[in-house]
Order: sequence, then structure tokens, then C-alpha cells
Amino acid sequence: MTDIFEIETLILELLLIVSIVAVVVRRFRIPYTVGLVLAGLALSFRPPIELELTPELILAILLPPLLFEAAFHLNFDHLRRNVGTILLLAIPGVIVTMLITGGIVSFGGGLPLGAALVFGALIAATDPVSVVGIFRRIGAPKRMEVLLEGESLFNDGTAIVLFGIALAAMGTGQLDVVQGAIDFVIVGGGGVLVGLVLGVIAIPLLARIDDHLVETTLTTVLAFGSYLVAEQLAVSGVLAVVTAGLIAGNVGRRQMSPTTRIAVLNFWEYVAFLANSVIFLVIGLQVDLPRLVSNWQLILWAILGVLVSRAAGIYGLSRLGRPIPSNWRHVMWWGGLRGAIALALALSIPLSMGEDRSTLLDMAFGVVLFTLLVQGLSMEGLVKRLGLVTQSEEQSDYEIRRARALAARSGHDHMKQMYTEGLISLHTWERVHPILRDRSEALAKSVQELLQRSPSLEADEVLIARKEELRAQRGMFAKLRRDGVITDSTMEKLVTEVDAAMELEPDAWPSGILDFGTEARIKKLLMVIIQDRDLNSVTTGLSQLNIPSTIIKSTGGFLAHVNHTLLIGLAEEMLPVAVSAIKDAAKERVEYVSALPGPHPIPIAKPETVTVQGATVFVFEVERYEAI
Amino acid sequence: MRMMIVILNDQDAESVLRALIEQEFRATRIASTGAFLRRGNTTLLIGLEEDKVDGVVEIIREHSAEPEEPGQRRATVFVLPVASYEQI
Repeated sequence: MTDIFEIETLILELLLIVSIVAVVVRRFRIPYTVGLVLAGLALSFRPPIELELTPELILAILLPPLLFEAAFHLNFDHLRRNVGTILLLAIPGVIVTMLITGGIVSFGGGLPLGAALVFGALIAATDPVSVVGIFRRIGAPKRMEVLLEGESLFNDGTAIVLFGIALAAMGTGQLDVVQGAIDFVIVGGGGVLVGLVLGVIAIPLLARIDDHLVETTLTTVLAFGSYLVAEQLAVSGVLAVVTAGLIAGNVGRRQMSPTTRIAVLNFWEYVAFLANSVIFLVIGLQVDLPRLVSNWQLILWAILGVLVSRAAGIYGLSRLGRPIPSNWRHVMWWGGLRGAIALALALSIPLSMGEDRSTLLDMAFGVVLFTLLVQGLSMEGLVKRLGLVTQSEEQSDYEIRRARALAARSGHDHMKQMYTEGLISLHTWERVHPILRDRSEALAKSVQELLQRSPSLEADEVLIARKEELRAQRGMFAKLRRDGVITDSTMEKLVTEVDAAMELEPDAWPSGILDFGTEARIKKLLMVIIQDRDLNSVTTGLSQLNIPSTIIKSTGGFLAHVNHTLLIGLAEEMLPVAVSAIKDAAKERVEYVSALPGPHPIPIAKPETVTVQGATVFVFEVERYEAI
Repeated sequence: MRMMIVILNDQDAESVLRALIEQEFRATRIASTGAFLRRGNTTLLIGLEEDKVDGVVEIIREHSAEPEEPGQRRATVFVLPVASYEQI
């Protein structure tokens, strides 16, 4: 038992190394995890140290913070929109990875099948931290970031559950697929349930308490607690942590005051940073470089397996979900980096496995090295080559001018505030005010000038304004519901309208909301007959989508009820969107007729039911369109 | 044969209709409402031969007033092909 002093010294040495690495990577603008793995590699030059770290300890201490932090800062709404693809990659995708990688490593490299499957499971966990960092820095599309982060979070859970099953199977020497599947569902589902329950318990506590220290501690208890409780119940601690983190991060976070939110986020950022670093360095300490090099063939087979199985997932499985542009797929394939989770799992293999454990450690480290160094460092180039970077020179210029203008205005407003409150004298105000005002105006003018020069920037700004406006609407609906002004179902309806408008990808919009140039493309005239009750919903739904219409009050032929006939001019590509909006807003209803319709209504004994159509839509081809 | 659907301001509708009748076009007038601001306007339905369409567009241009704001428009015109036509 190495004594406390030595352990503490070792830890401090590691932390020192970690700090040096962090400083160095910042200078060379490489992702932090790349620096870590290189440091780990450097450490592997030392003969391996036998650390008294039991596998359970590794999993229980190092994993929860990593997973909790990742889950905590993921946004539910973003996730929800991509949930199909994420789950496809995270569940079947991981199973496929385990089988393909395990298969390749076993048949190619000659590893016994049991160990190969264990490896396949542990290496399936991705770690896109570096990639996401690069995306953020260069301005890659947000959806890619969400897909990779969401996938990683959930595949960590699945991989760990499968890893446990594979390990157990290897121990007993037999694999019962049916039992394995049942275990998978029970362990996985149970974990999610535990996380859910604990997360839900935590929310009111987080809401009521407003002390950042206490709330940070609460989240710590939640993170580690959910792991431990789940493990005690023999279900997946990892999925429990992930679920609890998602709940705390979305529902819980909103209940926190801004100061608390910042404190909690900072804390978890630090803890995750520590956990990440420790894992990389510990594996560096446990890996023996000569032995690593001697296993080079197995490592190559492993890399092959990983790349092939990722291709299967990204190019194959994900086609079942929402469509992804094809050059995004390339980035997602190449972005399947492995990192701390895979290493942690490898470290947690029981020492009783002996020689195989070291082999698997080497393989894991080798794959991680490859993915981080080769894939990670080339990612930036790849994204730029594929033209996915949306930040242009013009946009940077725009950002700078706009920021300056906003800052100047804010400064001016603040001065004004101080003057109104009597904190500065009239004399000072009169001297300072014109300068600030002129500067603010000049900067605003420079932004205007840039926008006038560049129609695409102008369109972008309008887009942003519109999205913000829609978001504000959405926020108001949520508030009205919270305050009890509207019911849940009303809110659902209203939010659907707004969401439909928000969903429109920029290229589905008629470009040029600013000029009427879009109207050259109006090719269809819709004549839509709707019920009186739906008029408001339909017209609002359409106007959210910027579709103008003309309303003609009319009367139904059969029941002689008042209805409305709408005339709507549309461009070809807006047709499905408009029909969908009408569908959402107009409802088929059952009416009760108590008198036979006609000029002289004859009352009937028992009211008859009549189904009134939600909306009738006629679509005409427009040969010519003029806006005068 | 073509059907022109013209959406105009109420004031312009008067002058446009008069001009159309002078030129022997027949039109049906429907009172309608704009969906966005719920302002009353007029929809005209005009059945006519294809070669007369340009002429009617000119009439509309001539007899509708300049809009108050630069972004507004005076009239919206849809020209739809008619499959067949019966005058009974």
C-alpha cells in the first residue's frame, strides 16, 4: 500500500503536467485532448507504474463527472430535433461497432473472440470534445455539433452497458445472446429510470435553494449519487448519471439564478477537466511503450475496425433518420474520435484478466492516439475543405462593427442612466453626451453601410431577427402557461405554430423577405375553404411563415354556416409547408344539426351529427403573377 | 381563356372597375379582407381572352393610386388558365 504522501505527490505531479499541457496547447492552437494524449504518451516512456486503482474506483470516481458535465450542458430542444439520428447511432450503432470491430480484430488480429468483443464494446464510446471545440472555434453548423455531442453522450451509456455484458460473458466463457439482450434492456432502462427519479427529486430543491455553494454541492451529490444508487440496484450507473445530468441541465438550470448557473457550470467544467486529464495521464503511466509498439499489428486492426464500423453507422444506419447533407457525413465519420471514456473502460478491466488486459489497454491507447492525433488534427482542414465553415471575412467584419456599435450605445445609455439618477452632474453630461452620441451614431452607420453593401449579410440579419422574434413569442407562451393564463393544450397549439416557422431552413424561405423579388416565383394559387372557428389559427399560422392571404367570407352550401375562402399565392417550394400549416390549424369537427338545412329549416326529432371538413384546398396553376 | 384574380384597395377598385366596364370587360366584385392587418379590400374576378391580359394589367396600373408607404403595393394579380368556359 503506497503511502498517502506518495500518492499525494503523484497527484500533484500529474496536475502540474496537466497545467503545462494546457498552456502549451493554447499556444499551438491544438485541442486540449490532443495535448493530453501526447503527455500520456510521453509518460509511457517511464516503466509502467502499478497503481492501486481498482477498476470500480476508476469507474465510480472518474466517469460520473465526465458524463454529468456533458449531459448538463446539452440543450434539450436541440437534442429533441435530432433525437432519431442520435439514438440510431447510439444504440444500434454501438452494437454494430462492437460486432464489426470485435470481428475484425479477432479474425484479422487473432485476438480471442471474447476479448475482441470486450474491446469492441469499450472502443465504441466516442469523445467529441476536441472536435466540438474546433467546430465552435471556426463556426461550423450548430446541428453537427449537436449530433456529435448527443451521439457521444448516449453511446457512452450503451457502450458501457455492452462492455459490462461482454466482460461478464468473457468471464463465464459463454454468451447467451437472448439473455444478453434482456440484460441490456433491463440494465439500460433501469439506469435511465434511476436517473430520472433522482433528477426529478433534485429539481424542486434546486429551484427553492438559492445559494450557489449549496446548489453546486447538490449537483455533485446528484451526479455521484445517481451512479452509486444505480450500481447498487445492479443497473447502469452511467445512464443514470447521463439522465440525471440532462434533467438537471435543462429543467433544473432554468430554476437557478444566473449567478448560481455560472458557478455550477464553472465547477463542472473544472471537475470534468480534472477527470479527463487524470484518465489520460494514468493510462500513460500504465502503458509500457515498448509493449505498445510490439502490439502495432493489433492496433492497426483495431483502427481499421473502428473506421469501418463508424462508416457503417454514419453512411448506413443514419439514413434511417432525418436527412443529413452528405459532406456532413464525411465530417461526422472522421469526427468519431475516441478518448477518455474508452480509456477509462480499458483501465477498469479487472487485473485478473492478466496479459489480455495489457493488450487491450495498448490497443485502446493506440486507437485513441490515432483518432486524436490523425483525425483530430486534420479535422479543421477537412471542415474548411468541405466548405462547411460559415464564417466569412465579411461576417467577421460585420460582427466587429456590430459589437462596437452595440458597446458604444450601451456606454451612452449607461451614462444617461447615471445622469438621470443624479450620479453625474449636468455639466459633465453636457460635455460627455455629444461625444458619445456622435460616436454611437457613426458606428451604427458603419454597420448600416456594410449591410447595404452586402445583401447576404442583410438577409442573415433579418433571419436572426426573425428567429429571435419567434423565440420571444415562444418564451411568452411558456410564461403565460406558467402563470396559468392559458392552458397546456392552448400552449401546445401556439408553440407548434411558432416551431413550424422556426423549423424552416433558410433555403426553404423565399429569399429576399426584404425585396419582393421572390414573387417572380409564385406559381400556385391555393383556394382554401375553412371553418369560421379556424380563421384565426390558419391566418396566424400562415403569417408566421410569411405567407400573405386574402380572406373572402362565404357560406357553406349544405349547413349554411359562415365560413371563409382564402386565396393564397405561393412559390412551388412553399406548397407543402403551407398545407402543413393549414393542416395543423384547421380541424375536422362534428356538428350537431337540429333542423334540416334549407330555405325553411324543418326541425327534426333527434339531432343528427354531421362531420364538417377541416379545410378544403384547391390548388391552381398560376400562369402569370404581377405585383403592382 | 384566362381568369384574372385581382386583389385591390377598395378605393382603387372603384376606378379600376369603371375603366374595365368602359373597355367592355366583365368583372365580378367580391368584398374580401387582408389576412395580416384585417383591412377590407376588394377581389375582382375577370374572365378574358389571353391577349387581353396585358391590357388589363395596364388598366390596373393606371387607375390605382400611389401607395402611401414605399413598401406597399397597389394590387396583386393572379392569371390562371381556364380549362373551359360557358356563358349561359
